Amino acid sequence: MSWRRLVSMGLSYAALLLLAFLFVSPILLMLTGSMKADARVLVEAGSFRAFLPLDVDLQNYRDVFARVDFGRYLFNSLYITGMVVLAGLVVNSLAGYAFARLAWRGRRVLFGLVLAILILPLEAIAVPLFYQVTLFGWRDTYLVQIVPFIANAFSIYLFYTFFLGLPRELEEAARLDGAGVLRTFIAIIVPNSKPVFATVAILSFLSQWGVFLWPLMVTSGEAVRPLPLAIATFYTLPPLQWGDIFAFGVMMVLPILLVFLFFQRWFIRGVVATGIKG
Amino acid sequence: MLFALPALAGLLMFVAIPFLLAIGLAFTNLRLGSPLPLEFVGLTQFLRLFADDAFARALLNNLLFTLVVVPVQTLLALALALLLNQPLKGRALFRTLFFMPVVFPLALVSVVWILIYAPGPNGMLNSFLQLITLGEWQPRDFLHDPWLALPAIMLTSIWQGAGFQMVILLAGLQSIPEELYEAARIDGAGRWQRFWYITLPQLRNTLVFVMLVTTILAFRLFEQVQIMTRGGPRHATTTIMYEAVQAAFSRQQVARGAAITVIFFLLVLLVTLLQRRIAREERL
Amino acid sequence: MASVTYKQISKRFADGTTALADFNLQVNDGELMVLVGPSGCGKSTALRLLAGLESVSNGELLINDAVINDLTPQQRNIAMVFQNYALYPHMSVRRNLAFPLRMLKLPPEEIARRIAWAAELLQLTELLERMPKQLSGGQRQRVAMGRAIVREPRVFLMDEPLSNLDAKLRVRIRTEISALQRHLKITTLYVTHDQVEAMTLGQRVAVMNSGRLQQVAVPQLLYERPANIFVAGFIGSPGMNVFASRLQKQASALAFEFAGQWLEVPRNQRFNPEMLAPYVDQPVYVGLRPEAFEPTGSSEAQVELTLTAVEALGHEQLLYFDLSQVSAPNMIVRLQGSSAFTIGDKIPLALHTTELYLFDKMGKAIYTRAEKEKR
Repeated sequence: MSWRRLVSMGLSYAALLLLAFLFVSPILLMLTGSMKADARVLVEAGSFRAFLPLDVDLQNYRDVFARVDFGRYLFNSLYITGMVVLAGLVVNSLAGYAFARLAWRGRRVLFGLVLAILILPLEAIAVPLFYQVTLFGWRDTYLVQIVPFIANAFSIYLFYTFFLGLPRELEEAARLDGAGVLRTFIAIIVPNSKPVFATVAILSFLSQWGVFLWPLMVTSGEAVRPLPLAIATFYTLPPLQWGDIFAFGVMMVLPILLVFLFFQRWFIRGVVATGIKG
Repeated sequence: MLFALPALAGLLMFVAIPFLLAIGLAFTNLRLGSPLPLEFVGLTQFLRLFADDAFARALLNNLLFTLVVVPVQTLLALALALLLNQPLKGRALFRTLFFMPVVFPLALVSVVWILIYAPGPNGMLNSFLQLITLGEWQPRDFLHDPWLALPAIMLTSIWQGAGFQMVILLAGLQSIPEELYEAARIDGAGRWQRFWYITLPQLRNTLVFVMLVTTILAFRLFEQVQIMTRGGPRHATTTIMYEAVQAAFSRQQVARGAAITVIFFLLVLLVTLLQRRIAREERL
Repeated sequence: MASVTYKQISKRFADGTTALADFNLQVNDGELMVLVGPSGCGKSTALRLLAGLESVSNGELLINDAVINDLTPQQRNIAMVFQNYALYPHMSVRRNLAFPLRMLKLPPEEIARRIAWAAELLQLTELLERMPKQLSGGQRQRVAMGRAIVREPRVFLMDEPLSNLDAKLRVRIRTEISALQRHLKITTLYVTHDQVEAMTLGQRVAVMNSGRLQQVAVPQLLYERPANIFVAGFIGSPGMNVFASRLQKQASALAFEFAGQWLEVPRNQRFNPEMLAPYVDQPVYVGLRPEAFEPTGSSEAQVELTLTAVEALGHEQLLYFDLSQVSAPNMIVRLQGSSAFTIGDKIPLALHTTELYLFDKMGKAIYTRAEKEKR
């Protein structure tokens, strides 16, 4: 290996390590802080002790459960996110397939409308949607946090582009082999589309797990509120105890971190295979 | 058709109809609990908005936020992607580390960064800045400083969002055929020239896409503001969405909220059309 | 037991292109019919119409005299081997073979029996538990064949099944397919763009161009009695040389113009002066196969042409002559063996005018009535 190469590699590693430290330090701060006595979190935030897990004390975690019904929030988030992700995979993959491969009247026009809806973020319709679900009498339910978010234009679009890229002969072979449309979809298309299912699952899990504005609007009781609202409230709950807040944060991010680490491989392939990279 | 029906019904019910409703409501005086009868008031809501200093400040803040965050975050993400697109050991680990903030819900990110921005010499950022300026830095209260609150929110957002862009750009980089680089090498192109004449043009569509997404996210800025500053101090960090939510929920002014969301939609539409134009030119 | 009939079939796509026009073809029970033509000639469309993957615009498709236009692919009981094989990537070879049988809802014992039979026949027994990714190109091709035959379909369709294989393997599998088809006696339609494949494999060959059928015949007849200029140029490697020319009445016989000379039209079973009378002093096309030349010979008909390129293949040589001043871009001559030629030299060539073909100004071959009936 030449000197030039060695130097450039060394520089790359130095840059990566520095950046990695900057990216990870807030997370380390939270993780170590969650295992420290409350008073020390703020005091030590300015020194390198902020990042060192000098003592491992789970008292903060016990405190979280004592102060609020964390289990309730966790269940709410898991339930709402799980339902949206699972139902969304079914509904949106079927729609993506219908747009990509099936022939039916109005397909082009309707797909154009779906693409138009793609750029319409929830925020742009939050106020009237709030008004609408109020008319339905859906406030303060799980339903109102699940049903409106199952059908998703972006997910449909991702499925659509991925299915377009699958070799058409696979489906034709299945049809000649005697499989109907639904059977072809389930037995042939789905097993060969893991990357796109993983990508859509991760993306919708990410956005659903962090959802804040909508439940803030439509829920008032604690019973159905998800974690992001809960941590915002927990933060304002006196006394201000950073150790407890961080313990809450660690527990809140753990499920999604696991989901991501588990699906990461498929996710990255999905980003390549679907239209995400433009 | 049957396959697409559930999704289409959902989109119609919970996106298309509310959107039309937004346009309709924006021209009324609807206010929940108000004794006044529902009336068509024309452009009144829009005129009031444009006369309102807080809303003007919100527009300005969103604009500033976009102008800073989009280029900075994209460049940072591009740098990360380029670093990780080399044959180095531990690439996957670094990639995971840089992506990690993305999985953090914004509400949690906001709370963690409140501590980072804590005032006084013990605050994490304050003491870090003191360390690297050799004690010159005077501790500040970032989130209550009219000049520093918005930049503080920008920094938080960049930290949270760069990893997502990085993954997409990395995918874009990896789909550039290796032969192009080999051909350029044989043609005598150096490292910098290969980046300039091959990587950038090949990555253009991906770059346009991630910038579009980041721009739209910048317009949607809400959680950080709600949790970290509540729009303050003195509207220094208010945003379009923050104003909309304030109007519709704190003050029950549904019509005003709807008018703000219509403006919001027009802005997003404008950005999207702009991106389409840029992307299309490339195909010619 | 199945015969296939295309009756006045046309196919127009939504974008307005016509892929097939007035297509008539009868494939007999147990026959291997090859559809051949350049890309875009409609041969694959003809196959896909029969499979039910595309719908017919006009005309009738029949299997055993029953119209099948409106049957779904499942109902037609047709199997197909795709160019890229279309093996299900997530299923093992065994499950790939089982898939069509499971769709037929056959009992498990029957499925196992048929898989064993097909695997034995195609030497796939060792590979049954492998995934398609772990197979070589030739093995994948055999699995695709296996998936088609386990169903015992009425008709067997193959769409360029050899084009993803290397040259050696292609020749081997070609003979295997031929043997398999004779063994199973399943009516087969085979599509290819390669005329050598068509000639070696087809019991009869249908030549197509621009969505129209040009000629259907046994391979030898296609070579010896092409129906028009297209078939003449397409069949044979290289194909027939065709030049614009005219006929003239001379003292003893008719003559045609070639490379600035007037040469005599032979009098044989193909031509006689009476039938050629209407073409005298008219523009016609003459065709001469690359095999119809010799370097200087005993023949009276001799021309001298400038050599522009040589391709030596070992057992034979292809000589290229520039005839642009005559009206054809170049002419190819095939010679046995190898002798040294220099590019740019004038080479004297003798023509076997007995091998002459004539075409009218529409490109249709001119034959005596007896010859036509032979076709």
